[in-house]
Amino acid sequence: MKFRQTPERPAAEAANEARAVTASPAEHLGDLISPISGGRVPRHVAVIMDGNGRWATQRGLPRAAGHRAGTENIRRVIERFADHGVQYLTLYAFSTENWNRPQHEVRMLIRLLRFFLRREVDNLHKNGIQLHLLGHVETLPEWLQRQIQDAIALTSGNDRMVLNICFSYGGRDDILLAVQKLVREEVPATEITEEAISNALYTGGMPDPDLLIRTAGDQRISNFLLWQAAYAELYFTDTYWPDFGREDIDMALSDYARRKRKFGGLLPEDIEALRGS
Amino acid sequence: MKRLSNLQLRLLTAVVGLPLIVLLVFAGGWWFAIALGVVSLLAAAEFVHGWLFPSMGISAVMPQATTFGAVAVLVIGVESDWRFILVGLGFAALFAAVGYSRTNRLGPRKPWRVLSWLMLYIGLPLALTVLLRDADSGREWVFLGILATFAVDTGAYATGKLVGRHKLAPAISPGKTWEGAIGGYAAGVAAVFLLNAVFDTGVSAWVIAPAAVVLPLAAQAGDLLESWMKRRMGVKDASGLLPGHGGFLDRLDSLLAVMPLLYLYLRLRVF
Repeated sequence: MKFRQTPERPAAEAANEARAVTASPAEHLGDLISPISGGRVPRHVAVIMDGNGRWATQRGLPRAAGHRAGTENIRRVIERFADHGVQYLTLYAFSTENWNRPQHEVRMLIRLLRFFLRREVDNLHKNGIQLHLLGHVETLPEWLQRQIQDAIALTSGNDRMVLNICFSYGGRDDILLAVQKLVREEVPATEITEEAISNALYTGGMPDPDLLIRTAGDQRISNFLLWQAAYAELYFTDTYWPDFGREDIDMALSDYARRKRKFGGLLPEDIEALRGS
Repeated sequence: MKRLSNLQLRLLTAVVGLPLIVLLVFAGGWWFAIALGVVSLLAAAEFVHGWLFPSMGISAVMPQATTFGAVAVLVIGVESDWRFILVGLGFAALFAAVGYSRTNRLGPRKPWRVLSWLMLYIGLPLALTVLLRDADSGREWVFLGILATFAVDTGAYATGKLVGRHKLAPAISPGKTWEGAIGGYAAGVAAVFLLNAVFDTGVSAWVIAPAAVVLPLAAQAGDLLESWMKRRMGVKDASGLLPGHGGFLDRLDSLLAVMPLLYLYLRLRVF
């Protein structure tokens, strides 16, 4: 079934806009509904794709083989999330700190990005997915930058799902750049609001992530979407990223659907309960 | 001036050749691809000029090296770096231009049959070797293939010299013995495991085991195949291009079997 838009979308859209301005929590509970599970699904899912190296070592293969398997897994994951009706998917591929890894591993990760772009862009486009790259694209080789620009231009009209690939991305760096941008634009201090900073981030104009998944057992945020993930539900799994498939996604989403999101406030039923006691 | 003995020639060639090989494998990329393109041309020339048509001018064998070019384009173009596609296209264009005008001089010996065999026997293995070098840890894998083959040869030579009794294939290669073959095989298996560990490829002993079992056999089969072809053509050395060693094909025979198999195995299991 080709799924483009749930009937709930306008409501969620409105709720989200409301939240962006007033950060009013309860409104947001009008999430989207998955056409697959019938449960609530987050609008925006962010994933820390961890465990490629360990996946490979466990099989007696070089780390490079794990990164390749992980890259191949991206396609499956994109399709499953899109089928569930998730509208924004943000994948953490390479952090600003990853440049400190051994040179051959860095080279290989860059090669994988090229490989991914070359092999997957047509597929993304066919599936109605809009591609963005978040991070220091300018540190990449020029031919790769051109490839990235072409891919972004090609998919810019798509509206089924937005895919953010974070490459050479750091959460603090993201906030720092946003503030620098505001200062450069000589925005007066009183006008530097949460909203202004949100809009100046790489993710400007996108809703904050509702669900943040990290694979491979570690329970850290690792400098990913620090500002944006303020109220994200966290989900950890021991599965290594190359093995993170449909069932794992379904499990993460059904776990999300059971959670009560309060954004620091109280849910109406909690208030009821308090009154009753 | 006293003429150099065969052994002295052999050593001299090795002294010049080995550092060059090491340097080219180290460099990789363009250098390695171009070097193997030239080698494929020379090996193809030996095959056609030296064995099939001794009386023929060297220019008549130029089209053979289209081998490398065409196969490189086909194999490499599918997935690898665009630069290698350029190298392949360059070779194809160059040799086609020089050579095809004279292809008809191959005359009644069915040139296309010869060409396609060369493509399979020389071009494809060497093109896959370029791909192997271009893969992750390619430098280590190419060295592993070369050194393991060297271990098979040396192991066979030493064991054969020491305890060799029973002839392996007197009609094809009178010097080879069963004892030597077994010694060479054992040395080859050990070398693959050892080199895999020493080069720190990240591939476990279990994963490399099938390659360790098969590659030394392939090395020996490649050796015998070349000997058999030479015997059929009635020549002893492929050419005198490598003084003391014979020709390029005499040195490449085992590698032409080992390198593509190593690449295909890694492709299947590791890359």
